[in-house]
Amino acid sequence: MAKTYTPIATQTLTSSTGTVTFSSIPATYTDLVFVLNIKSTDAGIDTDVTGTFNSDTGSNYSWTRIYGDGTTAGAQRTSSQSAMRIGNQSGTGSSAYSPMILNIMNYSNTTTYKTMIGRPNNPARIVDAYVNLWRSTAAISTVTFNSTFAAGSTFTLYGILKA
Amino acid sequence: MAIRSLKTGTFSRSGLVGNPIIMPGSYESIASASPSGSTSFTFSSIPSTYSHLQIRYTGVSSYPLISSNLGAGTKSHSLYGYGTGVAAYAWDPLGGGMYVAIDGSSGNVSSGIIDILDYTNTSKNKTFRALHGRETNTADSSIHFASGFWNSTSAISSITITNNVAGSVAFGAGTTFALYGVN
Amino acid sequence: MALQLFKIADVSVESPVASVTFSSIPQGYTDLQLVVSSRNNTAGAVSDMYMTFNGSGGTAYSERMVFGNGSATFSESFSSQAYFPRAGYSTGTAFTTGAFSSSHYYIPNYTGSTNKSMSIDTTTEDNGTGSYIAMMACLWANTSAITSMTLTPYAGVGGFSTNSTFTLYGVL
Repeated sequence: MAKTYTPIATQTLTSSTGTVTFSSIPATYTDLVFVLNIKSTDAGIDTDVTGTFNSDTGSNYSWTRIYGDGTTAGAQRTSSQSAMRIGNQSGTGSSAYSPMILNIMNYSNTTTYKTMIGRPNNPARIVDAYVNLWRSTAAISTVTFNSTFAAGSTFTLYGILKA
Repeated sequence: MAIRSLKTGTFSRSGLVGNPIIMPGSYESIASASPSGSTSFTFSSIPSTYSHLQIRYTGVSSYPLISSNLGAGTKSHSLYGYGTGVAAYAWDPLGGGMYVAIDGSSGNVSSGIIDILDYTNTSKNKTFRALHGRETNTADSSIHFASGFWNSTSAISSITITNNVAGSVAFGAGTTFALYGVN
Repeated sequence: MALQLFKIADVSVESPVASVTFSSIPQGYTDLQLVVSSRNNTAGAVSDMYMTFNGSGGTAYSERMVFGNGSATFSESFSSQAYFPRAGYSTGTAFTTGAFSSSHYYIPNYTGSTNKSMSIDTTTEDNGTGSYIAMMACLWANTSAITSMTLTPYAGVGGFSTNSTFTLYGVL
């Protein structure tokens, strides 16, 4: 029985940016876990974050989510999108950073499509959980996050290896 | 303060004075299964040396059923979204055992994470907590935050995972389940 | 390979206690993770747990949540509170003896100089229809590093029951 839950890489933004990429992800783990603690440079409290795998911007993503905005519990889904849903973050309208835990399951297998289970939190706006599907059997070697990210936002990638 | 190897890019802890004491890592892989073609499988002889268990899985096919005991005394609940609707549900797993995660039509990929705290505690009934999603690029998709209850204080020494209620549908190619222990 | 999930401390309740506190939390990790299996001596099926950081009150706590009770769904929010009022569920005495809730907390960058956010997933369970499941997004509007945290069951009557467990991990 081997100990696991290993850090692969961390990015802490020293200046704002619209894109954060993790590339050359080793194929030696079973699952990937991203922990994000992020904030937008936008005004307001409601900025979406999207992402892609392997720089694929084709209509190969879909997602289903459940959410609560503090008043209403709801659900939403989309099909054939050019990016996956990562979550919702606050901008300058709130002092809150938005923590997000993303689990990319069986990411390096070349048999199945790829799923990601996400638990993003925007304390100023919304809490939700979702499942993303990337309709590709390719192993994931690159993950890209797109939004308007403020300096101080952190992105950490871990690998989990099964027995 | 973490030390990053310039050669490998990996991080390690510093044992120098002034840094927190380095404790052994708390998350261990115990066993895994790739049950493609099988209708069920069992994680058996689970060590009793951990505090908690976690199961991580990617499944192909329908209705995974987690069971430690195929008798009565189980319950499952879910808070889920299925696209245009959100709902909460409670049910008694048919045939005993407990549903922690529900899937749908065969061939769809679903993934999930199940946590079982204090699995060896003989003073506590066992509670399962799971986050599970099935996404198909159609309306037949759902995300579940689910729980399960086993009305027994026995320590969990084995976990049987069965595909669908009657156990008559095999897991599809690419299905993988992994069991982890957390100290 | 480095191993990045480290147990900092755990508490196993041996006789009922009014609250549980992790103090003098080491500052050498990046994130904190807490898992709780709890039951309390409050009459009723489910009790909320309150949480504070650093023993601090004021109006710095806010959160929003989505939850279900086995038959219906809801969403709530709270702002300017003296504590997190919905910091996970704890099973009460009306539920089956031996039934405990299961909760997971994640606090990234807990030593940083920005306000602190927290993610909570929590469930009760019981051999019955009614059971609560919830997800919370929380904000502590305080830039101090987190050095302690305290959990208290709602109404505090009777406190946490014997065999409730609380395990705190540091994540690098």
